[in-house]
Amino acid sequence: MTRALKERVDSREARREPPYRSTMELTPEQQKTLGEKLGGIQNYNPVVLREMARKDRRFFAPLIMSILSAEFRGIDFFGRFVVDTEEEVPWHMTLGFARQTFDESRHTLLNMKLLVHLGSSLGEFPDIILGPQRDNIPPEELDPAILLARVNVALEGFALTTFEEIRALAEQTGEEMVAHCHDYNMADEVTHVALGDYWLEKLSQVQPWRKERARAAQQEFETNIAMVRQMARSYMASAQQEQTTNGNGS
Amino acid sequence: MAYAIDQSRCINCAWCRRECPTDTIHYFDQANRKHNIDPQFCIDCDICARVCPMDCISHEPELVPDPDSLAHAKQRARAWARDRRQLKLGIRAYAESQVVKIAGNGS
Repeated sequence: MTRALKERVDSREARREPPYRSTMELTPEQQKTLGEKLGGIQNYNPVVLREMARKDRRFFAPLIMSILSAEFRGIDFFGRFVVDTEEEVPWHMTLGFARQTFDESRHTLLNMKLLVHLGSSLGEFPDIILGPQRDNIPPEELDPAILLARVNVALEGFALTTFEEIRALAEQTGEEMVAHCHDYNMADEVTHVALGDYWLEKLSQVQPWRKERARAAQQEFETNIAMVRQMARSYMASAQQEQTTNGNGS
Repeated sequence: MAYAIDQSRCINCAWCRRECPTDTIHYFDQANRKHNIDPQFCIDCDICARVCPMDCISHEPELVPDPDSLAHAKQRARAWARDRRQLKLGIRAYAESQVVKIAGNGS
């Protein structure tokens, strides 16, 4: 009998260069440099960056990096699922995940080239997505229901709004390449959400408890996203307070 | 008049729910794991139909909310619009101040 793929490949061979690095993992010196580029490390937030990019094109690069971070994460999760899952899932579902791994790889290349187009490169800005990556993803995170709900439906569903907002912004500001690439990405994301929803429904028919698990994962994701907006709201309030204190109400 | 989601084609991407100004599109409290519009609080704004990537939201003339619910929904929509506009303008002003600050630092 053929050995499982996960037993035939060394997962540690796969490594991103430069390696994953969140804002928290930067050295004090790197944090200082990032802060100088963005007017403060707290501005490394897609909600704020989008508005900064409206005023100055150089802020498109960190904004694109926030998307690229999520694309890498897509490869990690979908790829790991394809080769590592212990669950019995329909073969066509595994094929669907393989297709998504390929899509995410293409998006990754596309966004890396966009970074270069914008005068940046992978590694200039840290990764914005936190949590387990590559071979550190715990098996429970690779549960099909959790994966479909959190990544396919919740994350990629949210990406539709994000991509559309970035596409519209890029169109308004004359960044044709960014607008074109995000329009392209979006078509794939709709397919991924649809695939996720389809398989979640199929799995839930056989194992009804998956429905609740999926719903909880989606709710958790939305709570986290709401926190990003809340953070932007709090920076805004503190900046207004600072302006008032300095007697500069403009 | 209100809008309705074709349940057989909805992919649960939640875009409509995120955009609905009256919070009348439900998902987490639905038994069928699909997004649903409560017609009683639909103000006929068409936002959900425009953002739907599957084009599965349509206008249903026979769905008519009662006047009290509609008035309540319109009030909610006004508050939503005010809050959203304030947030958008606030983040924009903050972002602009940051860009000016960076330019002032000579970077």
